[in-house]
Amino acid sequence: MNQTTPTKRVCGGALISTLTFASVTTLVIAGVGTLVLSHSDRTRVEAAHSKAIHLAEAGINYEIDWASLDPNNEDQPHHIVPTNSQKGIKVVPVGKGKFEVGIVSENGGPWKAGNPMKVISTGTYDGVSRTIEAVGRPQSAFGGLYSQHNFGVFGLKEVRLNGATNEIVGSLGTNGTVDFNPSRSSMVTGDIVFYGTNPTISGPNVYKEPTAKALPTVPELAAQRFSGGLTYLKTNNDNNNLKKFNPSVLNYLLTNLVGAGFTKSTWTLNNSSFTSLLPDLHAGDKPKKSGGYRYATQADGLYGKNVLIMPPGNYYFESVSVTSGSAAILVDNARGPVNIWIGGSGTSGDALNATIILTDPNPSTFRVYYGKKADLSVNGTTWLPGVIYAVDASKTSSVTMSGNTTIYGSVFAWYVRLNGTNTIEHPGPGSSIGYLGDPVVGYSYGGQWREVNTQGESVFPDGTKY
Amino acid sequence: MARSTKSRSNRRRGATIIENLIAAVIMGIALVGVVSMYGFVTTTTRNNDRIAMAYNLGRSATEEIRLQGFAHAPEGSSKAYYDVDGNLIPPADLQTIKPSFSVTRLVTTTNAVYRTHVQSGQQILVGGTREVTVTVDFMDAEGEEDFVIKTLLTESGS
Repeated sequence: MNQTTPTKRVCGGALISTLTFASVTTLVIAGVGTLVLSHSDRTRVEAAHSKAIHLAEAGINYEIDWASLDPNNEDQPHHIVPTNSQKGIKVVPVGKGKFEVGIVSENGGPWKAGNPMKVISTGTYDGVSRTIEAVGRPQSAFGGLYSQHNFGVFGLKEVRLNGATNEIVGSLGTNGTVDFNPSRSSMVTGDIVFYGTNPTISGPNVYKEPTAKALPTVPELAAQRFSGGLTYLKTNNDNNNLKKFNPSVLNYLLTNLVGAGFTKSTWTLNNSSFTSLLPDLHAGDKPKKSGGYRYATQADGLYGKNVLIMPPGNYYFESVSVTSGSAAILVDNARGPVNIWIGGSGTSGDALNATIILTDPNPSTFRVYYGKKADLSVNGTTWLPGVIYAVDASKTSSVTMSGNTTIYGSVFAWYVRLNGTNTIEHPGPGSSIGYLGDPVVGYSYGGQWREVNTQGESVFPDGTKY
Repeated sequence: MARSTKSRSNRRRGATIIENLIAAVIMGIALVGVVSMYGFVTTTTRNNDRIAMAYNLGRSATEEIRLQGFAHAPEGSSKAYYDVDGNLIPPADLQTIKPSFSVTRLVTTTNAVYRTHVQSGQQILVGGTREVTVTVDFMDAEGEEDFVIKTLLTESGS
């Protein structure tokens, strides 16, 4: 018995060892194989994820560009939740993948033209889908941060530079003609661009684009901002909030103002509107060259003038004829935007030939919208930050500047006529001249990019919000 | 007893030879499996590396074009060659270094809008849609599908 035991152990050992080795080897190989195949699948899926995100970004760019083709039309973009006349989500095949894109308003509700839009795009490739959101910001016609359009002057039909010395710091654009008086001195520091028309002048800074620039009229703009447009504004304006300095305190502070006697139905602003206003006798309101430091520019100030004060709001007039040298307007735009709307069916011209001083020199918060079939004359103020937009529905309105006036902003009109010595200085690209509510010429990628899941929640586990 | 023990012992030795033969066959099969699996794993891992490299080269090229932006991304097609480690091979060295990847960048524009400088006639692209296609070709791996990334650039886009 002692002889047979080792022999048995030797015989079984060879087979068992081999089977064990084979089993272990097979398991190891199977594990490695599974790992390698898994890694391979992972690599391909990651590649598909990368392709899907690029497709999603393509969708964002596509939709912002599409919306920009007709920026004032609410039916132009593809809507996530369309109404009857609106287009639904757009599906675009790109190569072997696709993107699906649509918009909502920035807060998720129905979108109104001229406002920021949230663009939601899903890119799909090889069964992998990724969804991103980004915001399309309106490009103000007046230029600035999100806009490629930085015009000091835009004349939809004509720009006539006929003054002794006219300087446009920035670009000049037109859908019509530009007329320089060759015997006078005029200069445009930026580009002169003719849209949809042949250039009427030559020079090293003259350009041409094939399509006329479309801009909303003042009534259309008012309708975008107020349901009911100018008709609504006629009875729902802030005219009753116009102020004057307090005659019983005589400290000429904005904290002690009293009503200027206007009602919501006071649609006329003329010289007599100023006669009952308190003359400003604050020494700090003399021109800066004479020691002024408060409501004054270098060459002008409120001192000695009857001052009408415009707090933030929307003011509506149908007749403006302010020509008196003793009339002055203090625009309190430091506390919020001030908009003057001039409308109505009258055809007699209007004049805003008064000293206008702003509490904030930022041109983004002062606008004069002129929607009458007539001419608006702007003179008498030496330095005015803001924008004058005279684009009426009848394609007739004009802006005429005849004095020594500098506008730090933009002038847009069907006809722009510069006589005398004038400067229109655009603050330049990247400035803050553009403001929400301005006429819109397109939309731009406005950041706030984030990837979201199917519930619209940020995919970042740390809860990153835009 | 002695004969009987020897006879049983001989039978067991015979069985051991058979067992050893079976074990050898099993080992042989296992080794064949190991060797073929080793080849498969090596090939798959190399392909994974290639795909990962292609993914990186493709993404890098796409981001580079996106960085150039709508206005400045060059129109048309251009091709560059890379070695197995993803290093760019200068054209002069293509005779001596065998490329592992080629990256083709194709930018095409539809609905283009140009601003024309009137004096010189020079055209500046200011509108339209630019389709970007980046294709990475596996030059040393036949049968591997090209890696393609597509996206769109617009004037107002990101």
